[in-house]
Amino acid sequence: MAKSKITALTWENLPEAGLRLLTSFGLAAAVLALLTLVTLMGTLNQIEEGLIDSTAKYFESAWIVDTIPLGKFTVPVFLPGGYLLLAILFFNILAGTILKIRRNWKAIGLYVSHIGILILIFSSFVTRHFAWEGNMALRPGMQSSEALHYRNWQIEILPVDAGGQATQALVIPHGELESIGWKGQRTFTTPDLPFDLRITHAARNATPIPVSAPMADRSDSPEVDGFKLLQLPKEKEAERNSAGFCAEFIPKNGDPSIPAILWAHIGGNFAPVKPFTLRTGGKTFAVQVVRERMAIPFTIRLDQFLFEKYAGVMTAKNYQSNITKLEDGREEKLEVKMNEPFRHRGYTFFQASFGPPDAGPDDELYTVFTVWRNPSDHWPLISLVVTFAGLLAHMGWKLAEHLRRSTRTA
Amino acid sequence: MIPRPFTFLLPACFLAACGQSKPELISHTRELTGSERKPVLDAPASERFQFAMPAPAPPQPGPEAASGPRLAWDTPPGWKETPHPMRDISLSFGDGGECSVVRAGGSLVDNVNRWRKQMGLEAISETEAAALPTRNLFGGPGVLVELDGSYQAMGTSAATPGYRMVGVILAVPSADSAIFVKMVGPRDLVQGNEAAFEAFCDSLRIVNS
Repeated sequence: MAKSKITALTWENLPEAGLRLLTSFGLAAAVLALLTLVTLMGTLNQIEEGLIDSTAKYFESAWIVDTIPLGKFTVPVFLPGGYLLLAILFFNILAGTILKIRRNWKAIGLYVSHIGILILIFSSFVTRHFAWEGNMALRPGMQSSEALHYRNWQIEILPVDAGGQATQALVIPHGELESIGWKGQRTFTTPDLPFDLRITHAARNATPIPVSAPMADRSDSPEVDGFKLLQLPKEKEAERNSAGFCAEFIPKNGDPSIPAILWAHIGGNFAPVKPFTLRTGGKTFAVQVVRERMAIPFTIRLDQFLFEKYAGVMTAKNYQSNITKLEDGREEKLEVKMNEPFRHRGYTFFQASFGPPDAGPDDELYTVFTVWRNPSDHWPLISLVVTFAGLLAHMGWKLAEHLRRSTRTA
Repeated sequence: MIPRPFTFLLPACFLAACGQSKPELISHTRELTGSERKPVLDAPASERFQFAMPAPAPPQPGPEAASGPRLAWDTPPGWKETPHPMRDISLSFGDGGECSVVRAGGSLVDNVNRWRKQMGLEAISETEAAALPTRNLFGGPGVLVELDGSYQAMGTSAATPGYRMVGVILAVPSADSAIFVKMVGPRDLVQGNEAAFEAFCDSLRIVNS
């Protein structure tokens, strides 16, 4: 039975109207058109702002609020972001699958292909919220069970004993520092510390600059030990940013507060961290800005790094890492090559690069893995297989039906 | 008067305001491993911030020094300031072009060859370096260096071909030092900005603040 057309919106027919809108092809077409537009704008924006910032602004956002220069004019842009559009598309397809597709076995292919698309959209949601990407650098013989985030920084406070040793770091995670900004402030505390820590002048990319340098005038940060913190434009390659913070340690015993500039110099893969040393309440603390860590539930040891170059030049032809995975007292020998990553328990190790950059022929090389944890790593492949199977079943059925009709007619 | 439907927002605003001033609990911890367990203590700020030496003093141009001299310049149109801790002036332009002013020691030939190495070029001799053309910088004879090659910036692992570098080195014997003005970037971009570089070099001056 054909549904009646809604001519006027009333309280009574509002749920039905909403449902019709949600399941409509018009909504799907509008969302797909907007996704095309957002994809185009986000891709072009990478030229100016780089991959990470463009992804965050256009594809991971609910709304896009931006301006675009067009000749002499600046055009304001206000659009739904990729995240919101995909969420709408997900529920549009879900509701359409449940309510619109005929409930008989002939439509099984349509059901399956729609489920495949839903898996693909849901996998992007899982990636957005649960994926983690960092790197692990190892010299031969060295082992590690943690990876360092490419872009996120965290502040760590290390209580140091009388022998200069520390066993644990108290961590202020990236997520709690990110929202402070240059003008804001946040104070952190714990009963384990004899002071509170106030963070101001937080910048994703900054540099300490001597107050004698001409450009120090550009900074309104407090001066500490002859330096100011200068906020810098964000790098297009987000992993090249060095976060900086102004800190004020406020002793709980009422002593005067102690200022400091905390800075994360990106350095090299094995560059030693030189923390700020704080002595208060008869105790010593090392305070440092380091890359966000991800603990890995097994250990990787580099046994050997093999590097093959083209004759006469230092350009890499092939390189691979021979590693040992140590887990639950067992050892397993493995190889990680270019385009042949090692996957285990949801973690993927890609052979990313090697160093040092200025290595001579006899220098020992180290390896760098990109470590990727994504619970939905294989879901796009599953989605494609399911969608393909669904379309194949549907088209197969249609072909069979056509052939049957043709035979009858003949 | 706040419209009645919005009065429910008042407690939320109050709570939000309280939340800003209340210290937040540090609840995350991390076990340290290896060399992390022996942190480097008491490193001075200059060392923590990767400065090999104390912050550089301003240049000493002459009698006016006592009244507080400082560098001044005119930023060419289309260029922007991108401060850098190791540079007196740091500017950028276009997609990948940059210009800097720094002070450092070393002989002329060593510094020219350092730049040549950055561009993937062979070193030249002291005689060849002495024969390089000059241009005016701060009223003195600056040595003009123009190089085309594959540029490898400090801290990067690979050289990028098709780059051009234009620089001027002015020796300051009284300070046993030299002033370096350098522009580097993709060749076409640099060639298109050489007039701006000339104007920038001409605009460099010492003023009393």
